[in-house]
Amino acid sequence: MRTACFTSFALSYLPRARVMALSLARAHPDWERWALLVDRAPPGHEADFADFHHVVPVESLSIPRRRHWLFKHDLIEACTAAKGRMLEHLLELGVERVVYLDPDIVVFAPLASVLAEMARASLVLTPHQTAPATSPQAAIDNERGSMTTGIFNLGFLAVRNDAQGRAFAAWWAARLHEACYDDRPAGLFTDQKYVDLAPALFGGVSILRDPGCNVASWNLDHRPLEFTQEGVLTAAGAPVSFFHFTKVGGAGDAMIERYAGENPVPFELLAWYRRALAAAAVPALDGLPWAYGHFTDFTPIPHAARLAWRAHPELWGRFDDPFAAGPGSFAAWLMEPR
Amino acid sequence: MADLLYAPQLGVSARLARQDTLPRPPARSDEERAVVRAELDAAFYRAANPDLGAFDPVEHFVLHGWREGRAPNTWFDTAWYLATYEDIAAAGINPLLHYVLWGKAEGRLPARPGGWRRGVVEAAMPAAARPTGPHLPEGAAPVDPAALLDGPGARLVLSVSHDCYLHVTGGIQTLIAGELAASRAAGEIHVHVSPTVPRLTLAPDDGGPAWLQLAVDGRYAGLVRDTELATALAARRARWAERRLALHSLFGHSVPGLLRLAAALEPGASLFWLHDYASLCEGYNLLRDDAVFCHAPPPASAACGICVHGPTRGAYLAALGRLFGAIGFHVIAPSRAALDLWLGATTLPFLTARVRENAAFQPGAPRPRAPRGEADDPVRVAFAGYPMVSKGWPIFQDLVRACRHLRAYRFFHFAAHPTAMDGVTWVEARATAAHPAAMAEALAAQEIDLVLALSIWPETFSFVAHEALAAGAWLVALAESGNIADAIRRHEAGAILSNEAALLRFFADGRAIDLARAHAMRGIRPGRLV
Repeated sequence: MRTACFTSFALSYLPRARVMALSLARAHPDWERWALLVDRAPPGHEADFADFHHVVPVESLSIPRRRHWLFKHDLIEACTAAKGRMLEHLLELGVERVVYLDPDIVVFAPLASVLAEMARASLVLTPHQTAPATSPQAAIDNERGSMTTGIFNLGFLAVRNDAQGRAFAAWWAARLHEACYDDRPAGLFTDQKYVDLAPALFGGVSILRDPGCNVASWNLDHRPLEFTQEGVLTAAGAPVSFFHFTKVGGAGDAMIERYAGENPVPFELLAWYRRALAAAAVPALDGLPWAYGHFTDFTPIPHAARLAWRAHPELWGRFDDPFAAGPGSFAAWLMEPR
Repeated sequence: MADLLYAPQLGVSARLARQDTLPRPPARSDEERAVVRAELDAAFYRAANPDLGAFDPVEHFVLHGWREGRAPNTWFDTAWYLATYEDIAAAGINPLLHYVLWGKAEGRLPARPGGWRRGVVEAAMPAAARPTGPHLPEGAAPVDPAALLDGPGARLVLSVSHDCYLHVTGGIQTLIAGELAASRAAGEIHVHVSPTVPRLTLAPDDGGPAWLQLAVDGRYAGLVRDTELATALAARRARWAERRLALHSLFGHSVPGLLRLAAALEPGASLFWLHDYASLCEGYNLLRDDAVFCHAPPPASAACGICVHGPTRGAYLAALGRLFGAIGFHVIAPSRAALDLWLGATTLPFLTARVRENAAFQPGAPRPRAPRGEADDPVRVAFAGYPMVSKGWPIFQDLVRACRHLRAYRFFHFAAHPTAMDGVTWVEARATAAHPAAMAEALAAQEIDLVLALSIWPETFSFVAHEALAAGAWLVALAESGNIADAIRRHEAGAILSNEAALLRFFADGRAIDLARAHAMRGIRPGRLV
């Protein structure tokens, strides 16, 4: 069965995406590996993407008024917003099963439980938590977090190319086109919060509670990690299919630290992941500014400019390319005294 | 009662601290000194801060040490506490004082979480990158191997290991010294080679000759090229009716180099010793990330995938496959535990495999000992040997920390170098080739009741455990300690705990005292190792 796995990232996450792709290639060598690059790679770096069969720059996706639309998003919003259209694209190509994995996921074993679900479901989702929090602190960190940002973690998604799967993809892509923002007071959290609605809106939705899927700091409290004598990584006793190294190197470290306790395994995974990222680094691309993070004169785009652009559709007719700099540009208009 | 320790005020202070209003930094009061005195480990502090001179450690910590980020003991990380809790750093308060009086109750941590294994994991490095010991003895010079092989003797053994057993003290080296003695008794020429560049893995195969250290019949000869040694062996091999190869350690040698020597010698029998598990993994004691016993899983497993020793394991085992495929080895394990583990995990071909213990404990007649465990006559508990992670030294430290205030125990460390820890009495002891019973004698002289043999990997033999038995002590060990746990069962001499937490409970709830009393009631049976 033709299966494609895609991930979505900017160049800053290329080492993570490479580590993910390599791990996926070991577990599912027959799956197509697709990269959705929400960025622009300088020429001559094709080899750095060789772990993927296909690289789709966001500018090659069919998105109405693409640059107008991109301008509304910061990096994380843009990388998540484009996922909907990419999912539709792969379904349109006739791929029978589409799996999305975040670039900071690592596959440790074949996704057997996911495939089993896909035999009967059109859409497979993994909740952030699959058991009640084990402490008041964990309830605050994790359960309340899910109530704010979404029950299901959209670092993973699996869609079957059938009527229900395509209906979900069309709905999700439309919503992400309209508003894929981190605007929690408005009830939005990028591509993720919408999917809380999916089990209500669509049939054929499987909520996969396998503790071996999407193991991350937000569920470590009830999924202790262990290696078996045969060297299998397990979480709460179940073989780990994939681990989500969310925000490693940042806030994620403290959360893993909090829920690892004295167990060395999470620290072993972290130490390994850092080594893997170092090995997958592409120094020539490291530190390049995000292609959609600045105006054409390299002035960083302030978040307020994106908010203004979102909020004032009347501006969209006035400025052909909001990224442009110089006289008559949106950037210049922003600076005008009012 | 001074303000600082007045209980209601502490409650208020703790609440205020949550609102970023910190207790006023106390004056350097007697109370501050009292708290520091109770928690500071003077021996540790002096050892960690040799610049202290005659300064009293408590005074130093109160006046300077905490501001300089110095740790007062093994469990409180001053620098981490100040860096993690910026409110405490900003308040200019002694962080140890803060932790003891308020921080602990507020749920703050005294050091970064993760336990001692986290530090081990983060420091772990591939075998090829690990630092090794000194290279060569001073004055070592090239020698002509031909002249050295012309001595009398109709038989020859070529013994191979990772260092020169004449210059290094340890279990393998002791065993090779024993091998030499047996060779001499049998009129056999004993030729020993070790690499000139020490490594904790195979030497890279650069196609060229390798320099080796050569010792003949127990005398250090000098340096030879392996190609020249091979030529000399091949030219003379007809003189020796019996030729044996004894491979004690591969480390520092290349597979082509070893094959060259074997081809030149054409040994009638080739022995491969399982002193460790280097024939299963470069991480020769099977500690995943140097921290956790791994059970030698398949090289393609997720465990090997994340371990520092994983990336090279496949190629390493392939190289060993070439060695074992070309030389038919008789495998000798120093214990049943080691052999069983190896047989369950290896994919290497071999001719035969059997157990030959490095030494056997023969208990003597029982002697009476009055039961201990009272404050004036505590149970005497010892850690013997180098304070290494793989030997469970951090577990011993945790145990001492938890139990040092229990007057029913007295803790000892028997080692060549002093121990930097309060609550532990250091006794200088080191078994050497000249005085192999030194450790057992020292343990016996101090009338040690229980020796903690806390290895976190399955020891293939453990001289320390056997020295403890010879001293009349009983052993306390962890379940996955290989031949140590087996020795306890075999000799009914001690206790095996399932894990570290169980060990701490065993001492904290007094069952360790019961064990020592049972030992005394049965009678102490010091003996000898043969």
